[in-house]
Amino acid sequence: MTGIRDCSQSHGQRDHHSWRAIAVTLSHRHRRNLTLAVILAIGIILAVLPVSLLPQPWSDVASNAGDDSSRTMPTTSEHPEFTGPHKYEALTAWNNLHTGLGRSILEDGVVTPDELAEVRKAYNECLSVYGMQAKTITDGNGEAIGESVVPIRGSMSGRQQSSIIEQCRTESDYRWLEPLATAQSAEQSTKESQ
Amino acid sequence: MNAAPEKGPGAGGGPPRPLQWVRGHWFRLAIASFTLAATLIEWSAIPPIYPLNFLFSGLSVVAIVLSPFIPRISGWLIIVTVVARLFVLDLSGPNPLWAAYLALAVIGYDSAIPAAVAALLTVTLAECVPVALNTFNALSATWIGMVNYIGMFTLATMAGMSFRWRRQRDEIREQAMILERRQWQLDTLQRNTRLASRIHDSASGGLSYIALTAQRELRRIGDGEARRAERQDWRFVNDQALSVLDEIHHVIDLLERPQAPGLSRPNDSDDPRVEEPFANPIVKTAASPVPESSSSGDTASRQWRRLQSAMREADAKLSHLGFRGTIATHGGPPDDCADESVTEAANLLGEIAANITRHMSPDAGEYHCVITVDNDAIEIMETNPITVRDDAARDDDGGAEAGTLKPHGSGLAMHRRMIRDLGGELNTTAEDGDWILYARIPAHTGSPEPGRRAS
Repeated sequence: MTGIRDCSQSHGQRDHHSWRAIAVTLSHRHRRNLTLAVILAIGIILAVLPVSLLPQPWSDVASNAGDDSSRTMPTTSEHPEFTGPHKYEALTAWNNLHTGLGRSILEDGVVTPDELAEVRKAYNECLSVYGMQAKTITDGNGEAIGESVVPIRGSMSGRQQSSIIEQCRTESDYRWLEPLATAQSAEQSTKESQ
Repeated sequence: MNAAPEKGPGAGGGPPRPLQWVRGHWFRLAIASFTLAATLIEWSAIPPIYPLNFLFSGLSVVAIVLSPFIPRISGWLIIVTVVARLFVLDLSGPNPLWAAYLALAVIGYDSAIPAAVAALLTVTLAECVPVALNTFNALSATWIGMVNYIGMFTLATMAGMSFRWRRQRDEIREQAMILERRQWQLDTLQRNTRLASRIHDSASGGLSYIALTAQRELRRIGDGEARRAERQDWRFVNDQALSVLDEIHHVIDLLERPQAPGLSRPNDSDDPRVEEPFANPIVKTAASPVPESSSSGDTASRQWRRLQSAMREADAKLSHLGFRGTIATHGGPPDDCADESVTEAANLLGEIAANITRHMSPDAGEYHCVITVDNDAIEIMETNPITVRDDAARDDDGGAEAGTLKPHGSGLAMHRRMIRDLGGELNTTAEDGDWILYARIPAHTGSPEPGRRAS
């Protein structure tokens, strides 16, 4: 009987040990995952706090569009001496520019296609914050004949979209520099043809 | 989500470990690669503008890359970034929906159902917040439009869960097949053991008696020239019986060999040193292949007659070969005694008698066998003096050219296994020059006593 009792005890102890081993394994795995999750959460929070203090470009566009306000760069009596047939348009644009990029481009009185592409990129960045993108419309020969803005994300209404587009055009200086660049380009091509 | 079940590395000769891992996780890698490609293409087309959006999009990309390696943590990290991006009013950057679908599928596959449902609800409710607040970054301007997105989230989760269920079904099927195969091997082994026991108990026992009788006649005839022809006849009989006996032992060995290399033989812990002195069975009673319980008085008397018959047969054979001793019984079988138990007791009596003739000299003393039958069990106790026979003496007795019986060594081991299968026990010991055999066979095979079995 002693042997029998020993056998049953060892069997029970073996079961008990195996259950404990499973529990310990699960506990270790659970603890490891929990530790990893906590470390990740702390890391994300520590990263989010300073990053949230960084400037968020184009964040005022929606509110400015709502109350129809926009702040231009400070205008003084000091401005470049614009010459040529588009000097008045250039002066008007200079007084309405919103960005340092626009002023640096217009300082020489000429808006080149590359400079216009830079402005257009800023314009598209502004639009992308609100889920839209400007798309150039071309004819059969690949010549640009116009531009349209397409919504890609979000749930903005048509009226909201129009006001945001206008505000982005204004605040990115695309509104003033794009016609100037077009006019200068047309004049240049006329001169070349003559 | 994986087409093949995840397995460990093969033991030599297989593909290298990383390649094997890739083969086992190819689907995870495929969907993570697709999601990563879609996200990076969108990132390059419309990069995130706000720094916070950049941070969450970057975390999302990192989580997508890590999703095949740490799926659950990556899945929840993606969900955190998806929810966090809802509170950053910036629609630039890669579309978070790709990562959200991946996260829901991965969590649906790797986590339990409540966790998968929690992930689904988290994403769904979070995406509903901008709709409720009517902010411009909502997935849809109306609640009706949200139904499509909620359906897509649910489908992604269900896809992961369905892959998980398919994998579980495959695993269960595989385990069932393995169990069925093992059961079949066990059944085959048990059937072979029964066949071996039956051959051992019938043909082998009879041949042993033929050989022993021939050897006895050879000793009785002596070396006289006048009976040379008769001696040659008996020697021929003895040689033939021994030759056929060897073949039968060979067949028994084949039957008792396990068929699958990985299958362990049940009850194979018998000490061969103990088995060595016992060899040849005698009793011709056949074992019943199907255990059956009897309840009538006729059955009890039939069983009792079978036991008595086995006793008389053993006693007659031992007396015929010149052995002296007693076989006594006490009690009687109960009405509901199992036929299998009585059959095994009768067979064991034959085996005991065969071992006495094989390993005990008639001049060494007397054997004593007591059979006690009660309501619970049939107990058999047998003792006999141990005789040490040397081969030279044996050759002198039987003639130098006469063959002798060789111990096969499996007879008592087979009975021990069968008795254990019935829930009983069989022990042998050697004390003070006597062999002592004790066997306890339960009368009711359906209710074995675990305590007794464990001894």
